[in-house]
Amino acid sequence: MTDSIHQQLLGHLLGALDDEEQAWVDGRLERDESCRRELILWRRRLSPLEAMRPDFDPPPGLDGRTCRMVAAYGSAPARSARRRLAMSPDPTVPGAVSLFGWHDVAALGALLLTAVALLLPAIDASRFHAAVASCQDNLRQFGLAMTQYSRHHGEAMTQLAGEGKLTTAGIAAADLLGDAVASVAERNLCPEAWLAAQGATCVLSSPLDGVGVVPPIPGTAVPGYFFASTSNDWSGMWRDGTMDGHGSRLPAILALFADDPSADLPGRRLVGHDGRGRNLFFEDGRVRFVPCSTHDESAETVFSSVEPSAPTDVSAPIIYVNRLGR
Amino acid sequence: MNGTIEQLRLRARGPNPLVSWTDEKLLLSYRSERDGRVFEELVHRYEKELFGYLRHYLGNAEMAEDVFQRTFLQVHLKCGQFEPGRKVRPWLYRVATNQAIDYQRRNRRHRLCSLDQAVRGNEDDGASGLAELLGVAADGPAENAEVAEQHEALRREVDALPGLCRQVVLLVYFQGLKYREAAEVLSVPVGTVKSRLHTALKKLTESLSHVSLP
Repeated sequence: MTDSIHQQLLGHLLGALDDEEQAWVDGRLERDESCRRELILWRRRLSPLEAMRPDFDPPPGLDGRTCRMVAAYGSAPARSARRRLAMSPDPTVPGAVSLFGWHDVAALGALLLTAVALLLPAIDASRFHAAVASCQDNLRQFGLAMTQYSRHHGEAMTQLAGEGKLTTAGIAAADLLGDAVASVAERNLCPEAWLAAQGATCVLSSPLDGVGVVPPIPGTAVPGYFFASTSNDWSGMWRDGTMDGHGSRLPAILALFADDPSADLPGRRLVGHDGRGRNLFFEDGRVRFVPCSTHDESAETVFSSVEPSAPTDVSAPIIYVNRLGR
Repeated sequence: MNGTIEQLRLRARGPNPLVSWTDEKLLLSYRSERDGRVFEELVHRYEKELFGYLRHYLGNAEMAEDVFQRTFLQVHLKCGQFEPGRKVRPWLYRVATNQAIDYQRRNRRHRLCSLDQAVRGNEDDGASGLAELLGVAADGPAENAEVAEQHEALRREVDALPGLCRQVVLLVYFQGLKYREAAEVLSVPVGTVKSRLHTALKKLTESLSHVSLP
């Protein structure tokens, strides 16, 4: 006998069958002796269970208490209707209160705009300060390298180009692609510069290791560094292929301009850091940010504004290096 | 006392025409008209049956009463979801089962109550546990204890069944629901109900075959 028949017989015994199933089992019992025997067996098996089955009576008054509890709860449709009315935006519905109106949206939008307006300058300022600080670190690194070099070489600086009185000193950087020099030293940029950010590979080598140098071509305006030389009587600036010096014996003044040129500011002396100023490195390791907004401002002006006594201070050599624009 | 007064009030009203209404008619009428008397008739009709089921399920009279009231509160709130053409009984059992499950989850209580509870008697039941379990007058303390032990043995065995088997036994065997109604309550196929019940009763009868009756 299959389990299915056992289950149907059990259902028949417990009154759990549908009418069709009940009729089927009745027919089966009439003609099948084994089914009748199985039914008797199940009846015997279940009789102890029947005797053990407890019968629980509800506590008195349970139905009354339940009805009173439900009545006190309030009608659900009325509560739902009140909730719907409160949520309805239709002003013609009496007592309707809109949860979100246009004025709420406008107020929220104004709040968001205010927050953005307050935050953006702060974000911009933090970015600016971070770039300046990074540039100063870089500047300090190769400024110290230059200082060390000059002390080991009788206050002379690395020779950049030229001979004799036209010897120029300074540092330059090559644009490297892999191991080869890719371009002229016109991208003497602080690695934080915008060109570096645009993917230009820019490396500044220590003068002790040798640098990639492209000698300036007289008569052309070649971007390079301002420099001062102590190897001869001249100290001045290389600009547009000519020497523009003071013509006096002045000690080398070390100052490094970490230039972060902005593309929008043409000119020979590009003011770095979004046109706000430039960093100056001093031999004693100080790096200061000097605000200056005029891109034609000369280095001397800058120096004098920062350290009025610097050009005559023989004890504090400063190299200033700047970039010439076209 | 309150129950007696309630019955007197009911009798004073005269014969109740709602008695002849089917469960479905009662519920659909309450859904549309929200007549409190219709709701009272429905609650009264299922009072013993549903309380007994919940008492079996939860093992505690207090919890059973609480869940009973929650069940009918849900009936009151959700009667709009009852579809015409369906049967009220399995729907009601389904609501009650879900409420019992939620109640257990909330209270994190096991289905098994204290083994001592039925023996010592629960004051909240309004009567001693022994008398309630026996249903008949006991001859003496020894016989009472033996019957109580048998009831407790049955309870233990039923509670030891796997979840679905236990629910099927409670619904079909203890409460007398049909296979199809139990399948609707538990949202399982009818064949599953049949097979689970067959397996569970076979196991129960084998486990309890050693228990002797007075």
